[in-house]
Amino acid sequence: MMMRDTTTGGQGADRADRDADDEATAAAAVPGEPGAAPRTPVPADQGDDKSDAAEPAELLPESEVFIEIPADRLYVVLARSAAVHLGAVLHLGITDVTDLRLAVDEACALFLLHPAFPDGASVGLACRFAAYAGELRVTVRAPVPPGFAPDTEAIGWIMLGALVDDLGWAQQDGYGTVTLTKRFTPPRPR
Amino acid sequence: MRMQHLDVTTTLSADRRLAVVAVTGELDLGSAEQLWPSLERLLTTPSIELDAVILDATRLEFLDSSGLRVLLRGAKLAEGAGAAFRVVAPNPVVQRVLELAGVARALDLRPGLPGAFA
Repeated sequence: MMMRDTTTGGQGADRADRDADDEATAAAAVPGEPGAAPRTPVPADQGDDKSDAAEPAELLPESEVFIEIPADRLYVVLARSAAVHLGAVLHLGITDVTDLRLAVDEACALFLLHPAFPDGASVGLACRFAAYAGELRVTVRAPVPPGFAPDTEAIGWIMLGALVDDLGWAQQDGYGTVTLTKRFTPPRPR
Repeated sequence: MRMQHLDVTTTLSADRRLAVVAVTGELDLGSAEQLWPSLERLLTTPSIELDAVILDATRLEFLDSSGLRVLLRGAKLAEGAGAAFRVVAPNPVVQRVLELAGVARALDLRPGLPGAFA
């Protein structure tokens, strides 16, 4: 497993290009520092005083964690473990942590158990955990064939809907993304 | 080396009317199919005429929809074989899944093993 400081820049752009080999890889941002959101990476040469820029920016997370696992059901436990650890770091209650763990598992299963999901070690599942004030947003992303969509009648999708506050599915540029949003009460500062 | 995160132990009563299938660990998409052969063997072997199968999930630490599907398949097979199918799951993590899926009644959920024998 690899830890990476996203403040070195460009990580949002290289997520899609990262090799999905047999090793699980992960990257974590430093809490409180401006990690790049996946679709709006902050170029390294614009990191200085640009706060007056008129362009509306996507809200940056307070912290974010990436973990990429091989598309093999035996590795989903790693994504689950990451969810549990992050829940503890964010001081979530035990019910929220167990719900989050199950939701991440089910989100991975939407891909791995889908009959149209491609087999092969070259495919990986990219999980991103982005923590905002009072909200945790999790995305699970993988390359999918055209027309691929989760079975919204299946028990997994229905459980997902009950486990999180918002649930979404999107497909673009050959990638499918499940987005889970879990809201929580931020811990009081000590 | 293959990761093993589910143990399945089957115990059959002397009169071969009652079976307890104890699952320990995590019943998820990586291990769910590991449970099915034990259930299928119990419920389709002609020399075993069961009154009840008790799925003892007392030491189950995680259950997801893949594991749940195997439990539901087991319950359906038991029903076809004329046997009761009961699930013992005192762990709130497991109970949560059964409640979310609305199957607590279908799986005849019991809070403890002693109460599952009747």
